[in-house]
Amino acid sequence: MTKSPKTIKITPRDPLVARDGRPFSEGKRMKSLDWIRPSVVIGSLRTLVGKLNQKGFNKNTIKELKDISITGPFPYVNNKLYFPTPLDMVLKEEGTQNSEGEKSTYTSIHQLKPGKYNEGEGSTLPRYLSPAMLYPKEQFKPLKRPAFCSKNQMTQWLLTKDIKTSELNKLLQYNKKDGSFFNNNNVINFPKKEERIHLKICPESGSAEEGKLFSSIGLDMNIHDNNGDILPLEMLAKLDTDIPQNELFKIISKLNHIHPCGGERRLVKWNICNNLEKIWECPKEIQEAIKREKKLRMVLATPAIFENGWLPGWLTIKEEHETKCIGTIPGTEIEVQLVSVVNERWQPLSGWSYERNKPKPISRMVPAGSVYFFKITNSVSDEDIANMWLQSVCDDTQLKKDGFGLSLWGIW
Amino acid sequence: MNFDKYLFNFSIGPVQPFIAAARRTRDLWFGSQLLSELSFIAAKTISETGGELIFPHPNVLEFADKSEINVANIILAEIPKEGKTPQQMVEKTENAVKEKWKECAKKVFEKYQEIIDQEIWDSQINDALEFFAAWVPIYNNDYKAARDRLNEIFAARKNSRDFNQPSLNANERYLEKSPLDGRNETILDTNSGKSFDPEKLPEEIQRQLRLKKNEFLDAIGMIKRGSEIKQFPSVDRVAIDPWIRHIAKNSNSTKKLEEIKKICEKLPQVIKVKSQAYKTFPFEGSILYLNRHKSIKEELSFKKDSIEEKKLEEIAKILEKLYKVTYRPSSYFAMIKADGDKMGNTISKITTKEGLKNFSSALSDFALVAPQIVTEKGGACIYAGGDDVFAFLPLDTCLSCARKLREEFKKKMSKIKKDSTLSVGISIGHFLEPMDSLIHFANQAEKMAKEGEKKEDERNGLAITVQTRGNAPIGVREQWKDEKDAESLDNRIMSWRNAFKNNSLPFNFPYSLHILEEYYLNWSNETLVNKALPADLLRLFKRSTKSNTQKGENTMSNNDKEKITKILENTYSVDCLKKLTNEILIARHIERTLSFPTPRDGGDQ
Repeated sequence: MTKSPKTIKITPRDPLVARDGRPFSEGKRMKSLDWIRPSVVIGSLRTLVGKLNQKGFNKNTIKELKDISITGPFPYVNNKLYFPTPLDMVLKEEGTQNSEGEKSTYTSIHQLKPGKYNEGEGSTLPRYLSPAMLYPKEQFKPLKRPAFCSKNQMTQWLLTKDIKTSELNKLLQYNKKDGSFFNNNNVINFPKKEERIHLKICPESGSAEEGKLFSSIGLDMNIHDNNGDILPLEMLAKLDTDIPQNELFKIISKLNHIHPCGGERRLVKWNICNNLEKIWECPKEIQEAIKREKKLRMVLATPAIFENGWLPGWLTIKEEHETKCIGTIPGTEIEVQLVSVVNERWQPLSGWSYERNKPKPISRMVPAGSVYFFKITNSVSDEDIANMWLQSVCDDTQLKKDGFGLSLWGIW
Repeated sequence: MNFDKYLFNFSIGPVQPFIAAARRTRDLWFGSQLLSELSFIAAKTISETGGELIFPHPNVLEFADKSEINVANIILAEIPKEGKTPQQMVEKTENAVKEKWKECAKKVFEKYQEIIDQEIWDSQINDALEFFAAWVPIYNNDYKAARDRLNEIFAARKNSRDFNQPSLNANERYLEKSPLDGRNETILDTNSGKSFDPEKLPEEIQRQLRLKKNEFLDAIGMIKRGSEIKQFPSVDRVAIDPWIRHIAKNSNSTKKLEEIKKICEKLPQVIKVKSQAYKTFPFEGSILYLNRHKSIKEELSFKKDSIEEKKLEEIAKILEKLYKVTYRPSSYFAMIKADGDKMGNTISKITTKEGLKNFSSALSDFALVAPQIVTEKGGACIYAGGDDVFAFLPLDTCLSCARKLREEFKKKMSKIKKDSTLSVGISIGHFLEPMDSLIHFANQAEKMAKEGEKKEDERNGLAITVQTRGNAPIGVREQWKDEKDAESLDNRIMSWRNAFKNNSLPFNFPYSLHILEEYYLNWSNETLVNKALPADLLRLFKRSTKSNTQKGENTMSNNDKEKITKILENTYSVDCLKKLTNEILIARHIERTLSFPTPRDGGDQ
């Protein structure tokens, strides 16, 4: 890696259309995902850089462009960086209160963590996995999680071993009317979806052409804060390259442009940001905690694609009765044993291949926010921990560069 | 501690691609039937392997074939410790379900193999199903403790989703995706991703599959579309039912409808609907909408000047005459989504096996009768299993159907819990809306029915929403009141409908209320608003009815007048007024589309 990764701020001018891979034609509705895929953002940025280079897209240029890697994009609101809420965080409604006509629900946090079967109990989980159970034990219908939590909140969560004694479990306020959470701006929801109807104007008459109608849904990149103010929902990403002499990467250091991103060529501003490098660093408390503890937790900050579906390729199932799953964390020498996993059903990733001029095949992604629980089986160095933070744990090199499988680490 | 039996939970999924991913109503209905059939096989296998079924109730196995009841995809059973181990039970059940699934797939594959890419078909069929199971010992016949623990372990099982990448090499999968959920590549042999043109298919296949251009089906989609099943009524047939019933009242128009029926009999392409509810006109409804004829021609690939096209033109001529003597058919219909309230809470209090079985028996009794209620009301039931009902209803019967379902649920559940309630969401939408949007509206209405302003106002709700094309959705919700209570939401809507029907109220009445809303919005003195607003509303009501009386159109009964006066007197705040306006707008929408449609509302242009 170069020693000078760049931070870029992405400010959408229009609602972003995050396409979901479904074919689209006249008369259909273009849907949008809840949040944009990293590959869409880096793809758009590579195109912009290629265009600014003004030498066309030959093989070498494409190689250099594809080498530019992205960490992110993550929401950036009011100078705060946000990460997807981890799926091991479970919210419970604790009661309601009416203030000035607004109905607010207060919630408490529970956690999912590896549990144990008692004698005679079992499930169809693979034998090397412990069941991820709710703690403290209670029966309730969980509330929908907020989509993102701030880096500070995430850090606290990653340091939480026992939620009962955690500072985090101060009651969160939750506005049931629009389903948004308020807690000193420590959590935000997905951007609201905005539907637009498009039509084709007949050039001769200047009126709409009969039946030529379609609609698109975009992400309204604004956040309404506690005071009712509207704040822009920007995105922050870190860019880097492995090729020391990557001429194209130099273009990035001067980036201050408007260029489309996502579906429908919606425009966004791409601005290089200086003085924000520290935002990408692993918090000291986490480094210290991981060194101290032998129980390691990995949270996916972006969706991950693994050769073996939900199971990272760097983990191998061992022993006669498949009772162990072990491996070494990529980019480090930390040896781990997988204990438990909290994830959701796979999400599809496809797209359009310009190389083949055909739709790309589906890959199944482990959703962002998924959590993997490990036991460390050897010793850990400071360097290893620093290297792990926000690094990709995907198996494929290009997918790593495209921003998939970025990992956050903590203890349990 | 010793134990001699396990409590065992088994589920089949994923539900989403089986049910929600649908373009046509029959996809939706057949998907839920298919999942129910697979669940039935699972329940049957568990029962035959020594398990004692709790959910579904064992009697479901006896009448599942003969009725419209659905078997839910989660099965709860007790299995003895002596005999098959839980792991063996899982293996046996999974194998039986997979076998059934492959059998369904094989039938469709054999029929359409010339247009299917077998490699990708096989890989999707093998990947399609997911199973989850968990088990716990039952100690001292404490079923509550066992169920609580089983729930924990089953939830934990579902917290970790193990899946593989698609089994077929990526190089073979540079193909279009299913437009329904975008989760799979198409299995249609499209010559390596080029656009797929159904017009090039043999006519018979075109007719059976009703593929739209570029409708790239995946394997599950193809099975849903291509299986030999009885024809399920489409949304247009449900929407046009009030019109058909209206036509059937007049002998002259009945003759014309009979003529159309005869022509339809000679057009094998037109889908025949096999439902008791639609005996008067047992064909798809689109044929009776003139504005749908163009797309029927395209979808059925009628050639120019062919016999089929001429027959369709004959129908068009009859329809033109019919439209002149009666109103044009409405394109709106209602979806009902109902769900029992606090079922989890009720079941968690049950401590014995008999208690659990009684509970599941009461639920299956309800699920058995729910489709009958829907059919009686001229609707089509998509799903009725446990405490869930999902059905399509004509506009004029949706409210009475919701009420009947609610009453029946109360009755059937009274053995278990006296005050059991059912929340019902009704969403009214246009039949040309894409199916996924319609399902989304229905889910929202159901959610709205459950939610209340305050804790005590939650559940036991009736919500009605209207999603017109091009307008913002409107909705109203409150808790159920007694059937005889004139102030219940369904009765109030009926009063407003009557007022519009009798021409006692002008159709622009709710819009005058909007003006009042804006006027009172900035009044800070609540006491003043409480007094002034009802008085103002009564003034407006009198003025509106008076103008129609002068035109000689007002025939409002004193009873209705009294009811409406009472409603207006109780509207004391701007929030109440907003709710009232929505309520009147909904009644207006129903009445206008049923009895007074302009070409814009339900016409053919």
